[in-house]
Amino acid sequence: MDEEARRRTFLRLMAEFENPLRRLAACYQRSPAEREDLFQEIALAVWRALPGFRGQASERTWVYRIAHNVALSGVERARRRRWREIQVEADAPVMPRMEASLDLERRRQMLFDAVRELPAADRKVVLLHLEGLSHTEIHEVTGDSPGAIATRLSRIRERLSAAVNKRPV
Amino acid sequence: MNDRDELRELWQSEPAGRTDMEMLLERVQEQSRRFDRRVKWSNVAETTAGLLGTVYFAWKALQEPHPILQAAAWALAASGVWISLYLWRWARAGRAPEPDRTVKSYSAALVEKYDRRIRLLKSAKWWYLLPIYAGLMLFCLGLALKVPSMSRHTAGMAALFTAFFGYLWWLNEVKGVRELRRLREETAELEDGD
Repeated sequence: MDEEARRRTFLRLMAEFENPLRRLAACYQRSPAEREDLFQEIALAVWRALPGFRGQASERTWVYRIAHNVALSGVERARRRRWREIQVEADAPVMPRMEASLDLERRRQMLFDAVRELPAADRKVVLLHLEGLSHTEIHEVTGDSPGAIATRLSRIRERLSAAVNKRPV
Repeated sequence: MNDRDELRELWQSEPAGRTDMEMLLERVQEQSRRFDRRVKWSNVAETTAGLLGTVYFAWKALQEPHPILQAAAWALAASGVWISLYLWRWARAGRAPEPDRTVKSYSAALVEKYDRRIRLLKSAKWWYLLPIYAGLMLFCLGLALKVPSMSRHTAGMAALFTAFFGYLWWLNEVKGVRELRRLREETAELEDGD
């Protein structure tokens, strides 16, 4: 892949997957600064891996593999940072909007919180599912068997629905 | 609409991102270049340090008339070559796994990488500490035999070297291995974990 093709492919992939990758980063890191760092680390890993992309997997599963693996190896960096106190920045406040939009925002936040609280093995599967990947595609990204994916998803789905439909106190 | 669809809709209902992709690309290219430079310079620095040590002690060995001091200098020169080669060989075998594998295979490779690093640190006393320590002890012995009036100083020097190498041993085999084991367990749990 020449440099120009690499540039073009990178720009296209990042434009296409920016939102899913930002959502993924938000589920692995709570503070906005750390999310941004993770998003950029994923972008860097995609850039460096591009010359080796031979199209054996679809672009979608290829990008998700990289994203989840970068997030997974972030455990090591998080460990290294543990000695210093990390000030967790508050999520951006929800701007006053119409009531329906506020309710949507609240429910979306609850869904993110519920996904964040899942064990990592569940989280990666449900993230891919919510992004619209089929069981076969999830298998191609994670390497888990389709049966295990189906079992996991049916177990998590109810939990997430309950979390999202909880009424505010 | 079933739960799954509702959840997906809610999940994907976020406003579109506003990243300037050209700027992101520039930043990523710069980071990538910086990463390559860092790897290149750290390899050059390690090789140069090993080579300089070897040349210096080989030169000392050629100049030294006392046989034990000469043997000590040759031993230190040889340990420079040996440690550089050992690290080079290990670095070639221990490259980071490619990030476009499946998550299962990637985390297995990460766990394997931690295992290799643990083995490396646990054996550091043999391939890293012992060759240099033996050379230094030989040097202290040679100095004590060559200048008997300095034997108390030489004994102090030997004790200092022993304490320092003991500290290095603790740093590698106790502290380093403990930290790597924790990372390994955490990575393994992430993949298995319910």
